[in-house]
Amino acid sequence: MKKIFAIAEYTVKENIRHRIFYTIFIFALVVIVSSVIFSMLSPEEETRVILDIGLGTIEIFAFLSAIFAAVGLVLGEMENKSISLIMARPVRRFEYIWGRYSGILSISLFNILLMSSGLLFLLFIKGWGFDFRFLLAVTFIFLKVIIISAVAILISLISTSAISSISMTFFFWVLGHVTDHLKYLNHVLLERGVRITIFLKAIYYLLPNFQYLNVKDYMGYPNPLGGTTIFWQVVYSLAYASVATWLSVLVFSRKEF
Amino acid sequence: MTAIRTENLTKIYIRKHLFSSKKTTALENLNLEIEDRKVFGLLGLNGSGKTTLLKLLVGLLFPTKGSVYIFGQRIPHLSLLSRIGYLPEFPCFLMYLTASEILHFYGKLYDFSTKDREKRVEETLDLVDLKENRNDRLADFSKGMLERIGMAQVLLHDPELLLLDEPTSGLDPLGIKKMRQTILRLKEEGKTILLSSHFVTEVERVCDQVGILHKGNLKRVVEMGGLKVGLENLFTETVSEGA
Repeated sequence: MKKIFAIAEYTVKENIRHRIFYTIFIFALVVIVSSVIFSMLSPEEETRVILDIGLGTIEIFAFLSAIFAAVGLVLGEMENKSISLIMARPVRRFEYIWGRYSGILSISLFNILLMSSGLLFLLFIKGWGFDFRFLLAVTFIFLKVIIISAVAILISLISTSAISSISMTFFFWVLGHVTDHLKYLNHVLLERGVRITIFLKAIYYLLPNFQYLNVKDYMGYPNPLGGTTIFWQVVYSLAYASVATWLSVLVFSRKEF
Repeated sequence: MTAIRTENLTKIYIRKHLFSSKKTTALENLNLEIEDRKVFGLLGLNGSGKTTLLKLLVGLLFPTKGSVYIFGQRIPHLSLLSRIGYLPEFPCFLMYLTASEILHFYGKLYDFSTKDREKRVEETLDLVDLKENRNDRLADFSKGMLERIGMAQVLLHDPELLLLDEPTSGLDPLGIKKMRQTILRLKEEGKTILLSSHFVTEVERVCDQVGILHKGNLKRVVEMGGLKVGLENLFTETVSEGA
């Protein structure tokens, strides 16, 4: 545990000193603040527009910072061989992966909390009455980051370049938001006599279902989410991320440096 | 006591392409024994398998065949890594960290107490003349200073066995002299050192025993004390025979 913590701590340090971290972060704050301008287009729903743009921005930038951290740090360390100075010490392979993963999640959580505070501040200025679902929406953005960071680490371990890792992770992220459409696609194909149900089902279960975690879409509407649903959403996210991380450990255990 | 023993150690790299794979034998049935408290020099041309051997000893590569024993224990053995210090040929660090931070990070990967770690980091920085630069980022370091940080991370945990891959490569004459002095001091302290090099004169100056590696095969092991011909001649002769 001590070694996992040490690797996580060093991941955080490395990340916050990287220029890209500040670029992403400042850009996110600029977009959140500029949502005030967009809200002027619809004065009746001013806070609603700020909320939608703000939460969307937090999600996109949390995703970007997570994949840049996962791909840049893990793959970067293998490419520049600095990993050999870590693995030549009494560190188990799983300790390295879990350490890196915990560090990336810590920095993502910090990012999300900071951006959410900025958004809340802006909303309060505009006279928004606090809705506890805001916290739920932010928590679920973090759950998505938990999944995509685990996937990004796995992809960066099996791919050979940063570009391919980032592209593949991005592909997972986009497809993960449209998995429900696969069911519809299957239905349409069956009507036309094309039977690839098993293949589509496999993709459906293999991809992370981000649509299932899109709690921010329910903000401003009567709450359709019950405690049981939230519980299973959390279980789903943690289980998916755990499986992806253990697969990373498996791949990493066979890696030579 | 034997510090390092390899039995039929073989490493074949397999590079997979789309529909084919290419095999390269880096080491072939290597049987080597190195006594503790000795400085063993591994001489060989580029691509002779020196780096592969060092990486196999420290568990960064997995053997295709054969086995490695360090201090009598078969590797991979996690706790053995606490007794080994490894310096790669081109050590790469996280350049965003300072000299002190990188050593603290490596120190946290051993079971030291915080107090012990702090003491060791300070002592090691002092040992490699980087105490004044402890809060400077590695990105601002010169090549020579990075080499010294490389040596510092080797010495941090006071290992019994040091594996140094081309420790003088890229150093200026003063750096080479200091590295030689460090190796000789460590030898006096009773450390076992395995160093790889293709600089015959450097090996000649510090080693007790030399092994000549050529195309993945250990061609010859000689005691420096009993050597009647110059090492350079012997080396040239050996690699020419195997060419």
